[in-house]
Amino acid sequence: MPRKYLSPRLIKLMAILAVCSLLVFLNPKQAFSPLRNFFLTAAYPFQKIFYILSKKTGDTMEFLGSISNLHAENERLIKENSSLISEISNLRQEKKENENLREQLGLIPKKKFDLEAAYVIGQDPQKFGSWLIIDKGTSSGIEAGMPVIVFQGIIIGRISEAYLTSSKIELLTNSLSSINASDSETNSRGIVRGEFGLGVLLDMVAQTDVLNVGDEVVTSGLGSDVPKGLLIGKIQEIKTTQDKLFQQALIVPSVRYSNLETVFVIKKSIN
Amino acid sequence: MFQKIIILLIIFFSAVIQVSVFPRLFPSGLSPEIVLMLVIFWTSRDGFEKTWPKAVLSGFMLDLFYFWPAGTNIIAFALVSYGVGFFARRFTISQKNMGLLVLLLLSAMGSAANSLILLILAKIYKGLGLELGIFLPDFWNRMIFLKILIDMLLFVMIYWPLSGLERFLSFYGKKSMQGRFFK
Repeated sequence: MPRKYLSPRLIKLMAILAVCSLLVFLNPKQAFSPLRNFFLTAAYPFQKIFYILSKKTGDTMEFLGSISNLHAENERLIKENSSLISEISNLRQEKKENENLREQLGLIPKKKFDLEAAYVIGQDPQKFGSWLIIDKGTSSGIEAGMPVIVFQGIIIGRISEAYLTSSKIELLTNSLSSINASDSETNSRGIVRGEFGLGVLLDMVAQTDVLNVGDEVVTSGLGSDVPKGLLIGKIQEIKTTQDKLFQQALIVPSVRYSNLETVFVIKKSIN
Repeated sequence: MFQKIIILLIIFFSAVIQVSVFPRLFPSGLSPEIVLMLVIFWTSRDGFEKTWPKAVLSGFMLDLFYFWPAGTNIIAFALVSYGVGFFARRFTISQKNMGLLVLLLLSAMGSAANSLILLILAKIYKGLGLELGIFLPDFWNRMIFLKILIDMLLFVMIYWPLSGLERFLSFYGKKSMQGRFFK
């Protein structure tokens, strides 16, 4: 009795699955862009308010959870404070040296960027977040492909989709992301790409090139709109590809992408 | 029409909360799925037959907010809704006898099924070579049980407000029907 198995419910389900499978396979991204734009624009004020409120709530919850540890924490901080005071004087000296070195390496100082500050108003709720939503879009001159940095010129990703009042940042940890990069110490070049949200990998580095654990990896400025010298992170581990043709390096990003509040979109470099 | 607008607004704001509030309040990977819980709630009350448009709309809205290809969450929600509807019919004879415990069990099953379906879809996409930018955690780890628990707690939290709203909407529906017939 085929009718028994093909109930109207099942037929409806199969129809939905068939249409959706076709939609996913054809993936007409542009077809839904106006609709996505509409809903993101409508959601924008609520997202902003909700995100700020949830941040404050999260901070309060974190504070309440840490009250029991306050006494021990206080003692530890007093000790830490005294050692930090002496460290500050050393760091001031190193800062000067660092600035000189960055200049020599050709790293572009922040003053040379036309930056657009934006607040993070949403993020990937799935594990291993791979994107963020910011509160600036095409109305603020933001376009797809623009690099996004945080304080001190640390790159976190690029704008992948720009809408009227909001934009999506594809983080470096996103496996669709790839940026030309180099080891700031040895100048070895490669491609930094995401590892399905798990981390960042410097790939396609020639076997003859030198990589060292602890070296900083920066953007090389080759073949894209991403300026040279933006910090990506530090090398944690070096390995060789299975075919032994290239070296790979696991990179520890310099910031935690899940805790970002303000980011800067590089609209253009000022010459 | 009024009911449909209210449903649309509920789905819309739930999707906004899911993307903008929960990721801040819950650790990575444990962010609860409020839109899915809505679909499970509606299906457990009305069955798949009446709920599938809401499931499709919810899935579509979430696809828009997640920047996923349209259809991904619709497939997951449609399957979960069908499954929940199937079990809801078998667990209970009438809606009135359906205890919250059974509903909680359904929400747990729905939450687990949704994660599993999305993981399978992500693997299929990868196998087909479709670069769709969907990244999901491995299904069978300890986190998934915690996530199911959080989803169940969320279900309890939304159960009474939604039941109240449902009563209000059905009351409003009756009134508007009366208005239409007796004017």
